[in-house]
Amino acid sequence: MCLALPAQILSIDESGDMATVALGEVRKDVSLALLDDVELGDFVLIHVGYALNTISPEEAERTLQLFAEAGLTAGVQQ
Amino acid sequence: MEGHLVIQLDTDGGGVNDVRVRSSRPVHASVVFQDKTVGEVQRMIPLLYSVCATAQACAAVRALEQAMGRDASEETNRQRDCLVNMETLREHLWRILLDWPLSTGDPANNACMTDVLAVQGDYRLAFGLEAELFALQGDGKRVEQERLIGLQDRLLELLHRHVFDMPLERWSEIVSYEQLIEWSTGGHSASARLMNRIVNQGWSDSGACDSMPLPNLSPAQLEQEMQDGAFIEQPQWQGRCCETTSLIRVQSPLLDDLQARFANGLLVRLVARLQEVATLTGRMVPDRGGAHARPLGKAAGKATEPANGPAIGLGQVAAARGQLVHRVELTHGRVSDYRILAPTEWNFHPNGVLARALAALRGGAPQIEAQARLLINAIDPCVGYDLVVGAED
Repeated sequence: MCLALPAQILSIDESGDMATVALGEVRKDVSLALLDDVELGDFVLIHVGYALNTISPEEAERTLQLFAEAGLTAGVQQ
Repeated sequence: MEGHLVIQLDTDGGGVNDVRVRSSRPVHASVVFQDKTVGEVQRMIPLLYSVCATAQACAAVRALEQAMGRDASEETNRQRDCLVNMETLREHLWRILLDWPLSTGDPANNACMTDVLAVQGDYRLAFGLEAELFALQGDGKRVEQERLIGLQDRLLELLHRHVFDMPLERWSEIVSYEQLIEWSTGGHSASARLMNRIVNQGWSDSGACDSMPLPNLSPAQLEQEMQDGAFIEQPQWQGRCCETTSLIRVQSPLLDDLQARFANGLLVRLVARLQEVATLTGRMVPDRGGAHARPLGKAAGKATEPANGPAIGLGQVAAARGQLVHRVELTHGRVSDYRILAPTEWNFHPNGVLARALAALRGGAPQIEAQARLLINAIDPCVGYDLVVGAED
């Protein structure tokens, strides 16, 4: 189904290649290799271990709201 | 949140005894469209399905147009297919550039993938506003041929350097297993190195199994079946599991030769992905070389339209991982039912092609695990997975 999840960047490692992102209460390490100019606090769409592109906080909120409506956020709202 | 596959294999030292495929994919997420207007659905689709957003948007608009009795022009449909094809190219190249190198101990080719993403972005821009193209009866603007040719040339250059080790035209002249061996032995790209490894390990026919290609299902048949939630979760056709992957939809003399030797084994599946990259790159410019972009997606035809009741529409698209189908019911302009049948449900059915391919693996546990990972990535789920290989007592 190819769902892409909006996640917020919490930290970026020294090399700038990897970041820890937050999906609700869940923390995940993702690669930043396909993106330039990512900063702490940015929202990114993630897909199988990679950050795909940045999105605005408003778009992230709208998307997460949709996921919640579809009952897809139970696993991250702990 | 996005769902997950758990694939468990039991081995006995000589081969696989048992395969279990479990999915937690949210196949009924489309319930979120209930009671929404057509416009709201169209705005929501790209948010929910950001990765394969183009294929999803295309299937959605085709289903909605059919339900509303509004046909898009041939040119609009052709442009939509071009963008779906570009998305398929990106997904194939994702596997080839990011996953395949890891199988030979090399680093992922992030730099080339970044360039591919840039080409895709520029290609989408060349078609104007995607929202307009995927609006009801969309507005296919005139696309500058020169711009598309420039983008095709950019991709051809990337493929030459990072995927085929030679101009695509020359690679397309490879028509036999022997020529493929010659290419892979001398090549430096991840694709050549992976093919070489598979041949040297004797894995060319790994996972060869009986598999029924998903037939062209009539809209009436699909419309009927998709009313059943169990069909959406674990689809079968006439009591049989079916396969819908790139191997099913591409043909070439090279694939014919390989299939005669290795059936649908691992080498054949990987070459099919390369072949589809070659084919779709050739279709980036619809009229270049006189070859029209043959639509991979297809109009679903007329769905059933009850005299009294909701208007029903079906939209089908050949997405990167196989056939994607949307079915919508509209009542007084709002969605009264929306269902999506994704290719992963066919291919990763508990008794589907992946399960049968894995059951055919032979060797010790480490060899089985390595082959299994290659097969899973070749059949290509659209979500992450855990592979558990255990020995039976």
